[in-house]
Amino acid sequence: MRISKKVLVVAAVAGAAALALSGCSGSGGGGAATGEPILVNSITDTKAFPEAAAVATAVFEQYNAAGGLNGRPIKLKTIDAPTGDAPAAVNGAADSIGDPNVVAMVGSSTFGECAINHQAYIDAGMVAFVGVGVDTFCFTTPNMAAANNGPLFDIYATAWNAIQDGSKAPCLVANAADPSTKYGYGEAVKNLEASTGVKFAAVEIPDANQANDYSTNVLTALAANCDALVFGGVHPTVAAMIGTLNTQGVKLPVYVQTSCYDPGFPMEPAVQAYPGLVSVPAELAPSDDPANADFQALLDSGAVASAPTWSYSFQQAGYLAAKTFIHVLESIKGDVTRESVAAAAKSDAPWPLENPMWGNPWTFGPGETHQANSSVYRADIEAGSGAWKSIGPWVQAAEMKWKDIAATPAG
Amino acid sequence: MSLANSTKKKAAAQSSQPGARSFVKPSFIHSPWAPAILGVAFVIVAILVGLLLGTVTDFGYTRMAQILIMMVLLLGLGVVTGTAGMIALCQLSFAAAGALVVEYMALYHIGDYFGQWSFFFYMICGTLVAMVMGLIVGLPALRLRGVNLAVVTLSLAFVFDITIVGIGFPAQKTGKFIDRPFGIAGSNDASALGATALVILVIAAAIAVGVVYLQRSRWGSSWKMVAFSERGTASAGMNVQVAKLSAFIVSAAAGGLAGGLFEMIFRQGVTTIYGPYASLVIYVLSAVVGSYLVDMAFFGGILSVIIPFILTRLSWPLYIGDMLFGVLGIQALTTGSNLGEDIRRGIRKRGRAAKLEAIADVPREAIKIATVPIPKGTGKPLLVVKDLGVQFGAVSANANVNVTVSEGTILGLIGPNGAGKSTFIDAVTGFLPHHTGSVEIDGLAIDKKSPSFIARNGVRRTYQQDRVPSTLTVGAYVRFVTGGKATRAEIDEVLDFFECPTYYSPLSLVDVGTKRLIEVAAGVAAKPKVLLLDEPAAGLDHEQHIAFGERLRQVPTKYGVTLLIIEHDLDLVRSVCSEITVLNFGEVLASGSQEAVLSNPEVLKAYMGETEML
Amino acid sequence: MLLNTFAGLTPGVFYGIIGILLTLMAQLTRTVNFSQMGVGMFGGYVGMTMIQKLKIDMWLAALVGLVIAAVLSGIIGWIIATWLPNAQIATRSAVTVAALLLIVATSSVLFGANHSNFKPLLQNNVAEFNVGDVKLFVSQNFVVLLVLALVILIGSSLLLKRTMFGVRLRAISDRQAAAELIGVNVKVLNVGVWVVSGALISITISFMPASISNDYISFSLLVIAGSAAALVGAFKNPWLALLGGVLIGVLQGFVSALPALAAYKEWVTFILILVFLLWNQRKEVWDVAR
Repeated sequence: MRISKKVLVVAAVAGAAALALSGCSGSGGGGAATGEPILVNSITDTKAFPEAAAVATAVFEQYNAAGGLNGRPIKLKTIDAPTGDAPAAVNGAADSIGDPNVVAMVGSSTFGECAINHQAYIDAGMVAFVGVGVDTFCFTTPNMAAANNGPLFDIYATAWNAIQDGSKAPCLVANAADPSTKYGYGEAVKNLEASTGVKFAAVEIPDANQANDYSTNVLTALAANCDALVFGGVHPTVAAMIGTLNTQGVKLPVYVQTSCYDPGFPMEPAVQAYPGLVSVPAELAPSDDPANADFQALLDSGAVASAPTWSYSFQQAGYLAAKTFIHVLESIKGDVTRESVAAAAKSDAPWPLENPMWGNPWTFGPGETHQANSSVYRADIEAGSGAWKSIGPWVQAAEMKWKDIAATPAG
Repeated sequence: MSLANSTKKKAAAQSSQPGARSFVKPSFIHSPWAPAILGVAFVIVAILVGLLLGTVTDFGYTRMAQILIMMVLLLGLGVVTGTAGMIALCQLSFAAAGALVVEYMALYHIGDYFGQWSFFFYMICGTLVAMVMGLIVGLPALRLRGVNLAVVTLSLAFVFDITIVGIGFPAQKTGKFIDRPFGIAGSNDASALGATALVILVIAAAIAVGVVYLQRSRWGSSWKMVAFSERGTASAGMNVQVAKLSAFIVSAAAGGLAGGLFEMIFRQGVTTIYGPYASLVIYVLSAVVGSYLVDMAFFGGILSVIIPFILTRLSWPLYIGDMLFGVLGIQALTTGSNLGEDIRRGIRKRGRAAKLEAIADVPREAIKIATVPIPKGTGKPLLVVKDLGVQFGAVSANANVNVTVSEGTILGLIGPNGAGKSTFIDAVTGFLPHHTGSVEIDGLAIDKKSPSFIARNGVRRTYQQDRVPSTLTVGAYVRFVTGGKATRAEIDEVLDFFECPTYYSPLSLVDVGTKRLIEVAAGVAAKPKVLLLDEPAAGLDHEQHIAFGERLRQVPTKYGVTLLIIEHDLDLVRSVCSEITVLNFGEVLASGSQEAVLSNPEVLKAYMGETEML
Repeated sequence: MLLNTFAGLTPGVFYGIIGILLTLMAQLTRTVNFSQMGVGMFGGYVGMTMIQKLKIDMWLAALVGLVIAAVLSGIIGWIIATWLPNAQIATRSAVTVAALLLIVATSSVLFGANHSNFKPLLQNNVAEFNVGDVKLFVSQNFVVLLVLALVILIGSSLLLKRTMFGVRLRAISDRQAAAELIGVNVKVLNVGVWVVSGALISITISFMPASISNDYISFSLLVIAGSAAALVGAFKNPWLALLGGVLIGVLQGFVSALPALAAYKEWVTFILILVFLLWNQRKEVWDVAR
């Protein structure tokens, strides 16, 4: 119901946007695109991550209104695949692959779709411009590249910030969404210990538990006398972890993942009550950065029926995934097919793509793995302020001595 | 009542009213080959439909395979919840166990002994593990019932899910995919998926046929029995524990197999699809369709796949499907019906004239109630009860009760209400293990033994309460009670003798009085040494009593079954019993030959005003 | 270890209250309400959405959540009381499983991606003390939840045993037909119990431990922990349900501090409860008395 309403709003606003923006962008020029549509699909957990696909849809509407690709509009279809519904994800990919007119996947955002479908995309020669990728395979598959930087890079950067702030005995408590992420977190900790020489006082990587309650892990970590806490998990989980800290009278600095970087997080009562520092390595330009001007304009136009609770960075990721796809599309000489899109994405020619919303030039290209987004921008919450404060500057992977982590555990 | 009806009907020259009771003629569906033949027919039709759908639509072979896998899951759940009547909320945990074993063995090539057939070996191993889990889950069911059991199974699904998430599926963890059987390659290639769906079709059809055979077997009868009455099950010589555990094990096996089939199509396990929420969804779906019926399990499979398919095409959230199941589930569970039963009832109503035949249409011998004298027996003591005592707290229900039933006789056990007659039967048949005194049958001590042991060793009973489940057919019930020992001809003969509905008549169409008659017939057909009848003729009118008495008198000689009968109607007692024991306040008031006891002034005094004319 | 064990008290009392309410519902309405947390959750999301969209006050939102939960609970109770007045407890409870499914699915569709947690009404500590070199804190939530648990326990006990109204309530569960004969409106009382239960669970959620985070499925499935607590009292004794809840919380806290067992903390509690329950039900050999 929500979706259909959203579609209506998007359609209505797109009409208005078409008037306002006609002639401003797109290679077609003139009126709205009416040609044969270019089809792309997005497999999205519409309950957990609706943001990326919704924004990507709006980006395409805007692009189509401005003439599309030589008069051809881009049509994005969002296929719902709730977390836990693996058949839905598999069927979604099979349907997408089975329809020869679908040229690529754009803006997919789920907890585990990359893992179960990556081989299918490889076999089908189809590329995926992932919106919010969570599992490791979104970053280690030749056919996939994500707009976000992924939980492994993210947890590394999060902990790196803690160590930069002078922590000598950080503790990590990270809820891993899936087994490969759990493995990857362990590797990230090892790599960080090797590159910085700082030893973690405690590392707790609990599996998702049904009650979503990780307080015992937090307490176990606290018992190891940490001097800083690195928390991994999505916004509600991490807010609850901070809630546990409040009940224990702890004031240590807390470092959280970019999935908490949304306007609602600092206003969580637990976070507002927390007397210590809370810091995040944002994976995309912070909300007050002028780099977001175009993106913000799109949001402000009302083209996206977003909710106040939506994550800012997930919306940015959808915007960038769509923009990246358009960039590849416009680089193609000749027919737009699944093959030509894949060939263009995996060639060197269109890359790197510069967009100031990323801290680094973004590249799909021929690589076997893609840590395409490999920079972070720091933002902090001063105790009780109820808002993020951008700190910066952009920090690059090389500076943090980041090493790619293979998806596969040894053996 | 029933007896009168049928007698009247006979008298009325088999003319009118098909009546509410059914006398179902055997048809193809009852033949032992029917499930197998239908299974093969299903496979053939499914292949044709599948080919059509697979080529013409974008439905895809993966979805077809999912329909079949869901059918297997639902069938398994139907065994525990639909058939055996227990609420189990952990069906997907069994599937997870099956899938985990298959994935582990396939990925690391453990037990890779059978070449291209190895996958099936993995599935067997996974199923065995699931069955062990089923056994463990079933253990609490021996003491827990209803919601307690539901909560335990749901908690188990919960903790098991946490463990499975902790272990993780090795292929998912490493990003690999396991090999399908017969070297079927490719992940999303239509021909590979089609071939896989075909393999799954054959296996799923085989499982469905297997479950149908199980449902029809003594096991299946025992599940239906145990759902209706645990005491009735035990009295039929079936161990209640075995019945419950076997239901859980079969259910778990189906779950384990479904897990293996998931692996076959997806080639990689995903922890989250096996969580407790998914088990709740499938439980509700099972209740909506009535998945203990094989066709309805298939229909449930179709629903579970087609609704998300339609929602995806509309670009609607998939949770709308769960909303729909929730609404349908509330409807089904509040009305106590399900689609399967509704559809069957509709068909039955329409086809009633064809299905229900008048008694005359069933060829049977003319019913001969020869008038035989009261059997005198051989004089050999068969059932010997000495000094039996039963205490309920401070109340003494039986004290120093001595009863000896001689072989080939009919002993009457009479006494006012609350005299301890039924307590006596309960104690003798093992339901009151804390009784004192001794009980021997033909020299074998049976006190302190379990009810099912006692039943198997020659002492059977019937109940005052209805212990005949409506979910069985008359024949299946009698066959179950006889422990499968009576031949079909023997069963038909006994049913005829007691004027019961025919073998294939569903008990759901039989009234309570007739059920009691069927219970007696079944007890006789089981050929115990002694059959204890607890008010078998309650509710029959005087005339019927006489006819019933005539039959009972023949039982010891005709079937070799010695009887002990509790009865309030002294006319019946007079007409069948050579010996009578009178209980009063839990003690034996008088015992001896019919004439001696009935003329005993003490008995007269105790009975005066208590019951009808002496 | 002491820290973990002590910290388990707050979630323990929380599970305990869920267990108490489940037990009282089982006793008074012959239903184990699997949708109980779902009902509370739905109310919570309505309240939270109003905070987010209409910027209403937190306490007002809690009140809205309470009303919604009470009404929703009442509707489920009304459905069961209307169509299954004489059904067995298992049949009646099965309906709530379907209701739970409906609530979770509806919440997912209606509220969509809401990454925020419920706003607890209180979240400060009231006391701290040292045991050895371990500093322990007592949170406001713990105090409120404990008081709430005791109020529900003592209140329901007084109500049921000392008042005429309580006698009627007990009558509708024990001897429904008889109660109807003497003119008790069984249905209204039944639905009333459901409404009160929905309101109470909503109040409980408003003071829930800070360590619990939101997710439609996992939050509504907290009823599993609550029903495990109720199992300790076999859905008959609400005091034992509270004890069960506290035991679950404390045991899980304790076990989580033992490195060898930490991964199996749920198993440890599950098995202990199961063993206790089987022992407690050892006399229930047959399904019916005779």
